[in-house]
Amino acid sequence: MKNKHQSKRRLLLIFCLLSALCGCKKFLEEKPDSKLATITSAQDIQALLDNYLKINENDQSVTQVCADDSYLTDAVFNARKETERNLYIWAPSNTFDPTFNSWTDTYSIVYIANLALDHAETLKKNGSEAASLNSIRGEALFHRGREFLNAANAWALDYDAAKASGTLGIPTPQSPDFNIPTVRPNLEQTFLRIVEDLKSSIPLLPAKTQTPYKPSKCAAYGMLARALLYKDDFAGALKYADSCLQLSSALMDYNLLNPASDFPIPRLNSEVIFESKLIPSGQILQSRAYINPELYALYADNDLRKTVLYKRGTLDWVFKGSYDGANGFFSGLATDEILLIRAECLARAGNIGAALSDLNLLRKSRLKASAYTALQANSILEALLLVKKERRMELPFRGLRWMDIKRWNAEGDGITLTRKLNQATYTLEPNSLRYAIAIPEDIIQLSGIAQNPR
Amino acid sequence: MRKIIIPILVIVCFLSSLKVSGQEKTTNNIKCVDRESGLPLAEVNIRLLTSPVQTLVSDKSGHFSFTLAERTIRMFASKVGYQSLDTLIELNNPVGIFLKMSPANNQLDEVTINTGYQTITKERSVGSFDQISRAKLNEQVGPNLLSRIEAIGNGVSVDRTINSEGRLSIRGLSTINGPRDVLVILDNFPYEGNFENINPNDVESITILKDAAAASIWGVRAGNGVIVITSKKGRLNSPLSANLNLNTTLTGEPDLKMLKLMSASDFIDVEQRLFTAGKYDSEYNSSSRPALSPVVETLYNTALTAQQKTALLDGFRQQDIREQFSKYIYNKAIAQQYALSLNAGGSNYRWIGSAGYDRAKGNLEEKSDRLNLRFDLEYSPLKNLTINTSLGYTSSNQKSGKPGFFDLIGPGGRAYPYLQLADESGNALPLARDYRLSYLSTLDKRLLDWKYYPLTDWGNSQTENEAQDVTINTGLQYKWKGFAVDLKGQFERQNTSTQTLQSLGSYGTRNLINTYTQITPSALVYKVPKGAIDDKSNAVLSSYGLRGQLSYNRIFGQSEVSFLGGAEVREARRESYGFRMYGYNPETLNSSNVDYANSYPSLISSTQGFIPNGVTGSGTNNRYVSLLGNGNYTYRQKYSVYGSIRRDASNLFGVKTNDRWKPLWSAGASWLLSEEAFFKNQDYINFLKLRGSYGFSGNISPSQTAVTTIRYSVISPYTLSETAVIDRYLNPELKWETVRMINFGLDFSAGRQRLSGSIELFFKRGTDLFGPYPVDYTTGVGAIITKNVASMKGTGMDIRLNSVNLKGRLEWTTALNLSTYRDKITDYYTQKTRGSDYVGATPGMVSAIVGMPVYSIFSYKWNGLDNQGDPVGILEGQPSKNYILITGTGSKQEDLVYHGSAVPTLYGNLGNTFSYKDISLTVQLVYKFGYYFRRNSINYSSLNSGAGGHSDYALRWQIPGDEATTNVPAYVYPSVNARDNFYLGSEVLVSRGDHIRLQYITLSYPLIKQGHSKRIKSLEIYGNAANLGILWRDNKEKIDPDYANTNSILPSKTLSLGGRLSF
Repeated sequence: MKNKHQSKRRLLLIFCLLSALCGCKKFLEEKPDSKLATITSAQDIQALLDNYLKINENDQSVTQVCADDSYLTDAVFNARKETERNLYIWAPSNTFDPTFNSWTDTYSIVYIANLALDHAETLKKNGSEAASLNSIRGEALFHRGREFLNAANAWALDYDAAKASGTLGIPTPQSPDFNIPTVRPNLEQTFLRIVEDLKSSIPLLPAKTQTPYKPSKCAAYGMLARALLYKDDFAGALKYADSCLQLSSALMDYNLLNPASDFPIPRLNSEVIFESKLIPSGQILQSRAYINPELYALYADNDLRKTVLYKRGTLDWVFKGSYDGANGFFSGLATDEILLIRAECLARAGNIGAALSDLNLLRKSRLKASAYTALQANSILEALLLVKKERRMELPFRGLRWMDIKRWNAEGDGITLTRKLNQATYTLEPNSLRYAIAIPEDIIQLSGIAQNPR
Repeated sequence: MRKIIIPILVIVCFLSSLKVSGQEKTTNNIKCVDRESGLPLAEVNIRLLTSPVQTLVSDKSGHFSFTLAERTIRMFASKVGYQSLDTLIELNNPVGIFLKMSPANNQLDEVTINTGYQTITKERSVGSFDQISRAKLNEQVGPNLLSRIEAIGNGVSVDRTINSEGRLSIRGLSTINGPRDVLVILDNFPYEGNFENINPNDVESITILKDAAAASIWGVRAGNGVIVITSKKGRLNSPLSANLNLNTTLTGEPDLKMLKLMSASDFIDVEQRLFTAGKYDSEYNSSSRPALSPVVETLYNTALTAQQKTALLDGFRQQDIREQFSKYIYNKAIAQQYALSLNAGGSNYRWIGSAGYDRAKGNLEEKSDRLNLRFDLEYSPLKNLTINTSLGYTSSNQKSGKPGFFDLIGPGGRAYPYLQLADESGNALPLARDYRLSYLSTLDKRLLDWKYYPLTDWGNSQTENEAQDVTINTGLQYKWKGFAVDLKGQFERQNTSTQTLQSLGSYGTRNLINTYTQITPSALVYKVPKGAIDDKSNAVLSSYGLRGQLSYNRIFGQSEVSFLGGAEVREARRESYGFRMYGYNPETLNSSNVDYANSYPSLISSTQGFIPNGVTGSGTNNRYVSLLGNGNYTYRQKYSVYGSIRRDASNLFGVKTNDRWKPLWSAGASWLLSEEAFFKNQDYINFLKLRGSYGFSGNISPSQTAVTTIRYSVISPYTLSETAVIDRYLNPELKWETVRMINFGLDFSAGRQRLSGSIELFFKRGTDLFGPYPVDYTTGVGAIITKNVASMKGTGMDIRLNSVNLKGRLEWTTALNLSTYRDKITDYYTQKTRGSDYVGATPGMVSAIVGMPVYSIFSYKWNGLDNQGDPVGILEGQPSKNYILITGTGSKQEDLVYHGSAVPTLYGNLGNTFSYKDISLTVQLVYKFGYYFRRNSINYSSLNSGAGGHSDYALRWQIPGDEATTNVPAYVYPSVNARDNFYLGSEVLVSRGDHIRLQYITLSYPLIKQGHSKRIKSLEIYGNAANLGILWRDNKEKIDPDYANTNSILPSKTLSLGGRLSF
């Protein structure tokens, strides 16, 4: 009798244990943190791409610091930390702090784009919603191409089609797997990737989006135009600038802005096609950076930009005309830039009349209505000079000047940058190797890629 | 009855079959009683040391009997809660023999150990346990239980350098990057609530589980050691008794003079230099008008003459922020504690009920109080069935007080050293916090006062915290034929609600209202309502644990076996949410609507911003399922072997990793030498046990997952959808950490318990340890990723000695805990590239060098100052000032100076207790030896950016020739970060951390002793003085190594007085 009881009890016990174990699996599938998620749906990926603080407000500003839109006084220069001072005087090395610098910022956006593409691929294989995946892939490709272009602007030299396959480009990782070693392709391959990414994004993006924070076809056309301009592919740039302007061509009339206000240009205005901002480096802030007198002298007295973009600081003029509407620096796409791209390409193609008509269209909204007169030019060279001058006056503090100096010096413009500080003079000669800024030294250590030659 | 009869019958039969010589056998009846109360003791385990040994258990009336031929017999009696008896009994009294047992005396070791799963006797235990008795715990006073362990535990130390709040670690750290928390068990279940809720007066004992045999039964959370807290239970067969404990504690004001603050005059000199160099110009001109110090404002003030400026500056030079804080902010703190407990027990039940109330007002006028109620009942309705229920309720309140010394935010983030909190008449003075005061005075007069007055602001911004915790423990045990089925459950619910009310008078409210005010000539338009701001948040923790245990005990012949098998399920769920109300009226509870959807320009800087909605929400749910088992086999009461095994599963992400867990197991053996024949003949060594164990425990980190996880964040106001950030990066090879521990121990007691203790030797090996692995951050995953990067090895010794040095009128006992610990990295799968990777400016950097201790201190070689006051280092064997290379890639491990371990290699505590007549005095010391720490010094880059200075500034190089007398470099501007990093990481700033600290002195005197009064059992008064400072230290700068961090204030001395009454 007792044995029977014993074995019955034992069986009961085993049964209880087993049933407990079976309930285990479900019990253990509960999420440990409600805010955490693994990437399982298109919504998850979209949430990563919609994180505007990371994706839209982190463009590298090192090219703006190095460009000649502004200068610092001795006192302000001395107050900056060592790496910032080195960057400002175009030192050949030690221009970045380790670990947390513009390289990190640029490539972490690339990572999110790669992660998004990777997961979109997985979701597609699992038979998921193709339509929402398309716009995700389009956004990811756009952001990736855009950031590669920003990186090339800072850490690579000018693009010369003859020499591009022998010039160092910038790394273009296309997978979120961090075990894949980083390599530096040549500049030609770099730009093939940039153009490929931006072109592929076009069919996947909607023509227009509810907010310029999200990329649209129009934005993709514009970004492609900018990239092809860097590459000196003027025919391509013209085509895409045109496509962009067909979708969005509004221009603000500066006559209607109030030059007395702290920040006359409102943010997300009618000209904005895609919104992004530079990292607000201390060396370009309104409280520190004075306007290069050469730049300020370019504006005629009846040019509204003189009072809308600038105001008097303590010792000299300072910048207040960011399309961000406040202290930030707009680096996205706006119709004024696209118009100027088109004008430049038209001029280079020999279509002087069309080029000037674009310039005049812009100037109508930038000059005092009463004082407006149309521009004239008789040769390609004249037209180009006018375009370059207009570009210089229209686009300060957008991170674009560096790229312009590089490519115009390549055709012999001879723009030399000088900075006088603490009784010393620092010069950056045209086409200097230092136009490709030094890559952070710890990246060279960790990855083994080549440093920019000096 | 049956239990005794069968063995006796067997023995009688055996004996008779052997035809023993004709001595007549007699039956002896013995009654076990409690020495104090005279009441019978049931369930006393008796061992008659006949050959072979007989084991008996006394029945409910305390009786047991046996038949024997011998006239004297050696007998060993033991019972939970009583001192074991080892006596020689003369069996010549036919009337009856009483075996009187005394309740376990507090000075000697407790007989049993609670592991949280079972209670085992010290004789049979194989693992390494440190038991802290109630009496020892009660030598310290205060509402916080765990902080008492530091001064009295064995093998424990609190490290404040790697973690300034102080982290308890047992036997050194077994992990590098994983979680370092010790697992705390309260009444058999892991404690998930707030440690401050445990009432020390309810605690019976604390057991520290130190090796694998002890701790691996707790599985993946036990890798850092386990602390088991057992609450008091009632006593069987005892009449109603009550215990009352009252005490008051006074804490002195903190000594701010110990802080190495730069003098006001020196600081002002630096501000003048920076002003002349134009450093503040961009801040002065910035459109965001950041705050500037009064000195800088004075210098910019064009309305003053040079003489007036000098006069003002000289006035500032006389001020000292520390004096201001001592005068206006800090006060003595006072705390009171009241605790009452009642207990009673019958033959089959026992209960205890307790109530405790703690109340305190701190140095900063912060208030707190706590009420603990507890009731525990154990009832045996049937002989083999025991039901146990315990209910606990805690209610606590906290109210914030004044801002502490490091809480003030001023220009550059810190309050300047000449800050004045009030003028001569006592009126509050402003501190520039977000905006420049001179600019604020130019604004529209209709705006609210935009200045921050630290002296009075705290009264307008108060945070109140209320928490309630209900914990229910139930258990059921049924014994049947050697089997015991144990079902236990614990349910806990803790509710915390916090409210921060910032009235219209508080700076925070006025600042926010003004920021979003829009100025028109006719009126002011308020986007943030003009009224108080109320932030409320609520958090709920609810957890439960269910455990089913089946154990089996059987004695057959010379052997005794016991097995335990169990399954356990736990869930801990936390949910919290918070919200904010603007324009809040605390009387009517009404609030106003606010537009959160649109951005508005900030009044001063014009940047667009959204009005903060203060909405928070989060939820976590941790679930665990475990299977465990252990077994013990003892042969002849002398030789024991033990094994345990446990497997855990949890709901954390990374299913692949979960599957890869190996079960955690341990095995051990022990040999009770004092039971051997060759030991029986001598009288000197009473107890000697040798034991060894081998086993594995793990370390699980909920934050290390194997898949990419994202964390949902704010809603984008542009896309009106949720945004997310990446939380963890995909890391498919990630494995959990494993710690292997080998332990050898010797427990002894000699000279009739005059000397007892244990010596242990342990070997620890940690594999697959998480560590930071530098990654090429072009990959976008950040510069550091966590991987299984390291293995480490540690060895150490724990010695515990309790000695009764003097007995008689003057008694002197000593309790020494001494531990040594040495570890080293055995593998590290990454390369260090820069000098600064070895020399960490922040403490707690892992050396990550194979063969070196896990936490080591490395420094740059120092070659003195040159004749310009610049520090000189060594680069490639030559003196060099290339600081960038020295702190960067120019320094390899061979170029650096290795000092030693950053954590103590020899540590412990020493308590001496003296009793004369009835007065008892205990002096407790805590000591740490064999380690180094890095001192702080002046950082010119921080000083120039306004983040504060250090008093070493006064010792700096100033004129050529000073390099012979000082190591503090000359002041430089513009700042050179690498120069500061080199100096702060050089060998001249490293000192030995060895010190001996006087932790506390306790004095107690019994006014009424036991047995002297009918109504009152005992009345004792006691006093305790704690945090009495360092007695001896090895560094000549007089720094307290535990509080060397710039932001820590030494705890002030405390004095407590109290009384204990039992009746």
